[in-house]
Amino acid sequence: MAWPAGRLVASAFDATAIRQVFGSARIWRIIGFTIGQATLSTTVTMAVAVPGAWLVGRHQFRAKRLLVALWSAPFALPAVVIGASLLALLPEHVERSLFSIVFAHVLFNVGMVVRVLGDAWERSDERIEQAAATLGAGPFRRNALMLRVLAPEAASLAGLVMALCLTSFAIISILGGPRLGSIETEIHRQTFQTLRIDRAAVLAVAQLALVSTALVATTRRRSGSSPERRTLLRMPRIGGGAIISALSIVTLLPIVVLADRATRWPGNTSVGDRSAGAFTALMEPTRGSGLLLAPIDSLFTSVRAAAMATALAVLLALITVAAARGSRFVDVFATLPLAVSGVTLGLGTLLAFASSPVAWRSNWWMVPLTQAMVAFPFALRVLRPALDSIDSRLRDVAATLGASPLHVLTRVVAPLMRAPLCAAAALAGAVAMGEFGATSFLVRERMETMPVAIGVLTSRPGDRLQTQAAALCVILAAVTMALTATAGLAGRRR
Amino acid sequence: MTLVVDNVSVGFDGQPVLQRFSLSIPTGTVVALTGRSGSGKSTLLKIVAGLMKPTSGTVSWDGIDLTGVPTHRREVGMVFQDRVLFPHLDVSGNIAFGLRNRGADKRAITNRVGQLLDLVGLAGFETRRVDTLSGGEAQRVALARALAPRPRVLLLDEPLGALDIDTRRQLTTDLASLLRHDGTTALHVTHDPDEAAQVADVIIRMQ
Repeated sequence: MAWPAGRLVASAFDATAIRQVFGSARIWRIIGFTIGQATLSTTVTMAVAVPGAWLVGRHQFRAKRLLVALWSAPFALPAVVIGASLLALLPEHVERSLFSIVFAHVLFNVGMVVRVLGDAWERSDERIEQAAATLGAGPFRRNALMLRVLAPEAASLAGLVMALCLTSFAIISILGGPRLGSIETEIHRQTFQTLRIDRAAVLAVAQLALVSTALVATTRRRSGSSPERRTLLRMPRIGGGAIISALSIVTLLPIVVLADRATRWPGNTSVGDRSAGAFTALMEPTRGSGLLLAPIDSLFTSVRAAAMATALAVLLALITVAAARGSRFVDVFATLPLAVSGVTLGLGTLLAFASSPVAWRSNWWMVPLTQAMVAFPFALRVLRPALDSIDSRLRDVAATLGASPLHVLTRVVAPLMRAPLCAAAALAGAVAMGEFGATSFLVRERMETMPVAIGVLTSRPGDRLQTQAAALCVILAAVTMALTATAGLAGRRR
Repeated sequence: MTLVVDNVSVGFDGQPVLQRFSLSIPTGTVVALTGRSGSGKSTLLKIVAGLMKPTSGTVSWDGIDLTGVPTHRREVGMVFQDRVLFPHLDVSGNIAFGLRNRGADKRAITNRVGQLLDLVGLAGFETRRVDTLSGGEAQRVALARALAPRPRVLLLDEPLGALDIDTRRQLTTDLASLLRHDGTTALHVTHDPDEAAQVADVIIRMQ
């Protein structure tokens, strides 16, 4: 991780490349578009999510947990699936436009914001509201007051959404078309089309600075939360149904339309008939190899990536437990990959492992290793709290009973960590399976992963290819959702 | 054979907790440590167990210096205040844990586990999950587990402190007879003067 990052930063310190990049009006247009679309996407996401969070955080209604889980589901889906779902839903003249990009970002993020902000609302101290009521504040003023109280949480979430939209590569690659590009797509273009890796490195460092600024500027001290959840009200008659309908349409309709598209194979039988044609066509030899290879390759690659990410996460988690002093360093080390986009990581890897004695970028293990770098912070976030929650006195007792440090690890810690380990591996697998940015820099011919194959298919015209892309998306979504659900279930079984 | 704590000092954040503390316990003696919170009772147990290093002083058994010996080689047993049982093991698995670490064979383990379950009044509890035990039952299992490998010294850190008054009264009687039955050397930390008087041969009030 450090080596690719170091090589990337070193490559960016090239005066000519810096001058060329920042002297170009086209690049400034791209930077402007990147910031503009991210700001617009964040604003719309928050505008849609805040009423949802209010509804979820203050009220009880039927199937609330199921609905919140369904609204949050797109956040667990690979971004290429979100992009492809918008292609399936929107009419041709708007499918590759600023509107579709913003729609995709809202679809991706809104459920996550509703869930996290709603939870913060539910945990907020209801006595603040009660005090305001005794001072004569009506319902509207009380809600406005609570929104002020929750502003730090909302700002942090907006910062996270902004960072995700700034680094969104898959969605803009698919929905931007030839006209609209962001810094991320420009890094890819400079690397593979104009072969100016020095300029790509300058852009990657500028991107990193932009994302860090967005994250730092929006981080506020969180408001205190109450250990007790507040008393929930009945769903409001006016507005409640409308909010639920709007959120459900925004988050679920595109995915449903995508699944529908995957079962409508053009030219197979009469128009409108459903068939598994798109799925069987994946086995036909197109582009030199059957596309069915992509799911199989993806599966093997992400299994390897999950194993690497989990092993690394276990090692780091154990270090933090063994040496309390090093935990701060590990925290920073583990958070870094979250701030670095997949594209930046892919470019860094490409640069770092290009020449002897470390000319490894074409090795079979480079793609899973890079995916593991993207996935391991997620695995670590599952493992660390689980490891911290093991009562340290269990280890002490085991030692007084004659267990050596190795035996404490194998006979006490490991059996207690079985479920969190499964959860971490499944989550790492899901992240690796959907990884597109870094993989698209490293993947080789005939060794495509599913997201890369979907990216290629959606960039080509033709109903058949689009339907095949939809079919691949359905397979990818099913596998990642199954892995995420496994992670959730295993994480709960303690 | 005697456990000797000689001139032990330790502190936290510059504040001394134990200063040149010395203690000598002949084998088979039960010593109760009482005193206000923060007087260093639990700290002393941790130092004897090897879970904490003193800034100065030594701990020895039968003339052998244990100060640098890691916990797992000291042959001590420890019981904490509330349930600290291995949640992934059943009752017999918990009691057998120390015997397995010391390489006991299967038959010896089964016999010793059965004997201890009888002693602590939990015969028939072998396959019970530990999260289904009451507070009193859990502490009986913790006591049996600590006694199973026949430790040189049993360290009891307020083992009855989290129990309700009736269970506590019953367990105090049982603990006293158990320690006498086995002739166990023990250091027993408690806030309850009645419990100290009933269980211990010697009571030390720490300042």
